[in-house]
Amino acid sequence: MDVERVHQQPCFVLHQRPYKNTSLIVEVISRDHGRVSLVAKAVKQQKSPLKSILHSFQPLNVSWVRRSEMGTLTAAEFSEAPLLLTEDKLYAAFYLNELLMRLLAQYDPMQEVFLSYETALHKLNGIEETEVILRVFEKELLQALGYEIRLSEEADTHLPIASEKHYQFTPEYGFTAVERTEVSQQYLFKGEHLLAFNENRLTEKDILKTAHRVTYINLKKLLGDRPLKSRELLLAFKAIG
Amino acid sequence: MSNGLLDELMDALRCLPGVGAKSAQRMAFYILERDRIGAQKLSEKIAQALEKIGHCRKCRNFSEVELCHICSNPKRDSRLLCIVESPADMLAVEQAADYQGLYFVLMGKLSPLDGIGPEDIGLDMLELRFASDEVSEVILATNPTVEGEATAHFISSLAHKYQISVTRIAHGVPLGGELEYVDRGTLSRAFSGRLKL
Repeated sequence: MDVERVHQQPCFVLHQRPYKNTSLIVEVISRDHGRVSLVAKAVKQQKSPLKSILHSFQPLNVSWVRRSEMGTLTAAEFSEAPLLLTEDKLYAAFYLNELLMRLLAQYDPMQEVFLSYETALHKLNGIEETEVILRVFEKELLQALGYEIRLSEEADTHLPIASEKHYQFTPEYGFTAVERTEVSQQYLFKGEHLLAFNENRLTEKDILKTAHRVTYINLKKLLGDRPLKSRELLLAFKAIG
Repeated sequence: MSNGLLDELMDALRCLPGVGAKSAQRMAFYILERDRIGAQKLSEKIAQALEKIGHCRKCRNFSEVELCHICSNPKRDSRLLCIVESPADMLAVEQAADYQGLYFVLMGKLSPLDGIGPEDIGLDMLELRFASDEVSEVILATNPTVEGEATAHFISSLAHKYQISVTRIAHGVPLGGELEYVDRGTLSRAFSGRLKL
């Protein structure tokens, strides 16, 4: 394999784990190269300037050299002011990272995912409601992965979704118009809620619930039975408060 | 050719952090050639420690007795509880700060991506302690990493549930440091956590 040299690539750290005595293996999501594994040497030594930089949820510019499966990090710096996430926003950010660690293949460039992730983190740093940010991110992630949920038209007839009708959802197929009493509540959706989610207008509780059900059914198919720890943590945190 | 016990010794020594094949070989030859008495003492102490040292019932720190010397010291203020990630952190606080309260050692931190949740770091035990009405202030001394912050926020909301006041150790510019050379992350923390004079 040729040597890949990447200079000042916009990145976010997704996860890190210790490697040998003082080094780390850092998983980053990069704008142009997708998810990448990098060895960051001697980071845990007392004087390493990288120690305060290589943290999750911070906008970084990272440089690396790669000859094999794993690259070697050569430089990293903040690309803008650090984000300060707290409370449920922090747990939500962990959830985004866990989703990306589970669903993104390595070295598969996905710029849309990077941009959605970047936007979601900046929003988490603001005042917007956490649930809204998560649902929009999940929808965009599913779309980028090739599992787009078509919220504006019926799967069988391709007719536009009508706000006054009810729809049944079939995973990997889409929405079909039904009578309200025909299907179980779990797969039954109101047209107006679907249209609102399509336009990211998650202003009401009922619409948020719909958005949650839609993305949950789809993500569960991709994630399998192993639960997301960060999701459990976010729920446990909310249960206390 | 295998050297039997000698190889096994080298292999065993590699369980220590930072000891690879070469260091293990050096250590094995050293204790056999030069310091058999020291090695004898080491092996006895390791065996004794493994047998006798467990966790303190109250703070989870390593202890030979059910209640460690800090938790059982009547001069300590039991209303103050400092929460740290590891025994090494506890020792650092104990040596640096004039702190007379008690500790709770998590033996880890919340790290969902590594599968470590609240029960794994004894937060169920900590909640029981909060519920016992003994603690009136919690000082969160977890590390300034994202996992440390996540742990701190979780414990803080647990404590608030029991109307316990919570403080977090300050993060910022090191003593004798110059702002010009302080990294962005630290300086931004120092700014957001600025104090009124």
